[in-house]
Amino acid sequence: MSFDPVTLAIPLFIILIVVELLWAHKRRPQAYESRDTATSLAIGLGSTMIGALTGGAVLAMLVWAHNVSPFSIGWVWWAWPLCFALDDFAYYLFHRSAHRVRWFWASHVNHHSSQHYNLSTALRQSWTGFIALSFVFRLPLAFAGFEPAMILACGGINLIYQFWIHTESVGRMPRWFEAVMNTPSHHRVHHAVNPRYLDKNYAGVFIVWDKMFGTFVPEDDEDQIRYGIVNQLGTFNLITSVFHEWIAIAKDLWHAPWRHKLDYLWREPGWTHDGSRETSDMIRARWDRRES
Amino acid sequence: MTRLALGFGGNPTKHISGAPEGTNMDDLVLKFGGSLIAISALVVFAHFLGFTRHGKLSSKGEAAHCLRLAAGGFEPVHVFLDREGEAALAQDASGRGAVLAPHGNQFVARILSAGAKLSLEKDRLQISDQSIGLRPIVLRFDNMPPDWVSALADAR
Repeated sequence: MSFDPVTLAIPLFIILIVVELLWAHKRRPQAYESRDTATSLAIGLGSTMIGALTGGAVLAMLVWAHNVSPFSIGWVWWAWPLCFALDDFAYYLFHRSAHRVRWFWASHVNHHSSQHYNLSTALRQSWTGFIALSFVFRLPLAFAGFEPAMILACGGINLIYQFWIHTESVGRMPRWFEAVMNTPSHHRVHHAVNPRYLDKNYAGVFIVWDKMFGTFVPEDDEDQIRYGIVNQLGTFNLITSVFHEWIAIAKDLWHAPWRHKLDYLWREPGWTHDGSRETSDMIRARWDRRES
Repeated sequence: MTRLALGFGGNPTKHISGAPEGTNMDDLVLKFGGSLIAISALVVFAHFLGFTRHGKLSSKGEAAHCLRLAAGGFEPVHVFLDREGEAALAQDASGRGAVLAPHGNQFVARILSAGAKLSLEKDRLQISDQSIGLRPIVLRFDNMPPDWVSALADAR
């Protein structure tokens, strides 16, 4: 398979980062930090390398699902937009799980670990998505009869779309666009640690999924956004950035009573059996009490 | 519906039994090397443009906003800023201390543990705690800090 949209888009990614760096230099100096950028890009490089090593296995599983399915849609033209829309819905489900189930969060958290929100942040992709079994969210599409290569191509285009929305250089897009599509404004909310924004706006390309399932919150210009994770890492160390949540899970599993060990894998991030830490729902409830 | 055996631009089933094109080691090494050069160039460019500055807290209000986001929750009643706005110490109504530790051009809010050490000298306050890592935080000042800072330091 020679068509890989993400690899083809890498030169565009680099050009846009250079343009954003020049913009930030003139207009918003705090938007970038060179060590943070180095970490983001190194995580992106590692993710690409690991993706190249595990991509064959993911494709093999999609092919298996496609082969055992009684359906086969083939390469008819209308399959493309349908596959793209359904793949984006699968992404919404994956992404929501990635924030609400700690096992998936451990793999996804490095995308959120920067306190900056710029185009280099977009490249902080997972190293451990394969171990976390993130690909299972795409298997239903292969069972439904879509061609595996079409599913992967749609997934690649989806990922490319999500690159440009990681920026503070774009305020709001036209109203019709903001209503349907995921935009920099909607995705800034997703990366915020402000309590009212936690675990919102999971969309990949179409924001309509969040509006349909009650997870949409618009950006409020009066509430200055702070980016990152609830318990900020405070380090630019590459290995810590990638593996810190897996290490934290291992520690929790070691110390937890037997009857709660599995809870530390499937419950939401921040959950503890003794209530010693806070989930995003608890943080939001505390914040709401303070505001009321 | 007709089942098509061919994949996009070729037969994807070859990826099951043989080494897929994407995992050819020469290709992988080439991609890795090229990407490494591009990344290094971008980081050098960012450095050259001056994205190495320290963060500055413009006011106690900004510091309080950041402190309220500390993990576990913290509502500051007193805030003491470093002379240049490069760090902050705060106290809540129950007497707990918290700091804003500089991290690049941003800040990390940490609630101080019971084992935190605050050492008040002539024109600086040094704070060490497991919650802020190995490097202590230093707050510099021109005028003597308020009583609550001294009391917090004395208590530790």
